[in-house]
Amino acid sequence: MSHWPAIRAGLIALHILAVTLMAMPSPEGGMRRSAWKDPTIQGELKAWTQRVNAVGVDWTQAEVEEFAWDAARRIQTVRGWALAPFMPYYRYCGTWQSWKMFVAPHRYPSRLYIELEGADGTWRKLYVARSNEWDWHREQLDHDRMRAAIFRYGWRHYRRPFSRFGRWVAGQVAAEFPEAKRVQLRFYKYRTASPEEVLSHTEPAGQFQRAVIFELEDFR
Amino acid sequence: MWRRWVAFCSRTEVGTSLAVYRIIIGLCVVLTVGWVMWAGLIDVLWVDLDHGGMSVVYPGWLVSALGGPTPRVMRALAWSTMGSGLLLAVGFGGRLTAFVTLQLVMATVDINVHAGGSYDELLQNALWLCVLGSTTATMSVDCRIRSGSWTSETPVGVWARYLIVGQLVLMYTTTGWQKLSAYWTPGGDFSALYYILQQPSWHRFEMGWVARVFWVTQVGTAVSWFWEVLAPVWLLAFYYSETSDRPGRVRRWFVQWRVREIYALVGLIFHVAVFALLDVGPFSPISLAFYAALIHPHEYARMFRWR
Repeated sequence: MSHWPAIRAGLIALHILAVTLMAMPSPEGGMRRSAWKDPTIQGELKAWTQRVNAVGVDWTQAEVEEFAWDAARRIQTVRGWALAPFMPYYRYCGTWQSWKMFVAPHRYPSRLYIELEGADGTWRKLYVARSNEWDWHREQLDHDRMRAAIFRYGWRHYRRPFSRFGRWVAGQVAAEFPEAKRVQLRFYKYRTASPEEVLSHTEPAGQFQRAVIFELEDFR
Repeated sequence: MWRRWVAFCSRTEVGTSLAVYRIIIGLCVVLTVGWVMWAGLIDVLWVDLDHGGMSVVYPGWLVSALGGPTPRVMRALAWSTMGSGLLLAVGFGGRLTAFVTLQLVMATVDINVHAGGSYDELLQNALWLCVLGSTTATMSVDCRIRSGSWTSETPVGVWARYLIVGQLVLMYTTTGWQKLSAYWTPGGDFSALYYILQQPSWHRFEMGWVARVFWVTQVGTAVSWFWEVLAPVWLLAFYYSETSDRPGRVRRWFVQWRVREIYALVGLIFHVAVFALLDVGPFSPISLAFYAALIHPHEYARMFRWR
């Protein structure tokens, strides 16, 4: 037992090393060229291009993006190598560290709409995210875990999970509205209004994207 | 250097701070899983597509061993997780209960990779720290069984509390270091909080009204960015307050100016604001559970006497 204090101190040091390495900033989860084309990310790149230009570095936005992409890939490589020995510790002891919390505001968010086509062929809204008026299954769809999933589905590369989610919604709608013909899910993507725009009652235009429609007969 | 490290890791104290932390974490487990159950989402989020869930789920070893992500298995696991969280809160079973609770939490909340957040990771880290430290030395059923009393002066390692505070500081620091957006960083207009509050994914209600108090969100953005980026100062302040009987001008300054308390107050305001304005699940309660470890056992003793 006389060696225990030293062994314990060593294990504590290893724990600190493992969690600190894992927590270091990384582009994990964000390495998709398609996602980088989103206007939110392009807006960030534009702002950083203006900043580096202001300090005398004459780079274009494309060059800044390429530099960021290369740097992110290198960080990923080194990170993977450094974390490899600790993987079982993260996996079995729950010591993952991913603290990318609100790293940037999403200037072009997506708001989920669920709409129903009745027997007479007219469409009506069932659910609009955060609406007090169209609040079908709100207690479920507004739950924080559902918000997390729906937030992801708003990105293009989550097309398949979004479609599966749509099928689940269609199943619920088919059971609750026996006369209804079809259900549609789509996202309204828009630029969030600046304070000046809010105060002048100017609402930036947006557009509906990624619509999926399901024939409810298939779910009965 | 090594000897000093070993000596540092060998220091002990009364286990009150660890016990309070354990109780809150146990209740956070109940809250985290109970909230999903309350919304009727277990069969939706944690059950596989083939069994009526809304997505493909990724079961870990425990769910696979129990027969896969069916409604029956996932409901049973959810109830077991909450029961285990309660046992942890009352302090029964020591490290074993903490370890079992951790495995149950991982089996449930990690099964759907799209439907979770950083609070799941924070909770799992919190539980692992309950496995590492002696959190049931006092204010626990274990203590009652062992000593016949609900409280005990049995010494526990101070290092466990440093790991808890260190985990909290690591989270804040590295989230701050990743806030490289032009909306967050100096040189911009510090409008990050304003625009985050406009995102329908997370806000509790429409937040257009904050445009009238835009400057408040700017101050909030600047304060929270610097507070996070410089969070290691908090760890130093914690160390100085814990070793306040030692000499040193910097230590004296930190203690005199209550740097630890000021940091904690800013964090408390931040979490209350997040909880009030944004729906990010149990992130605030779980984070605040870590704050329990910032309070030294002698300070708890003073508080309990005062009551």
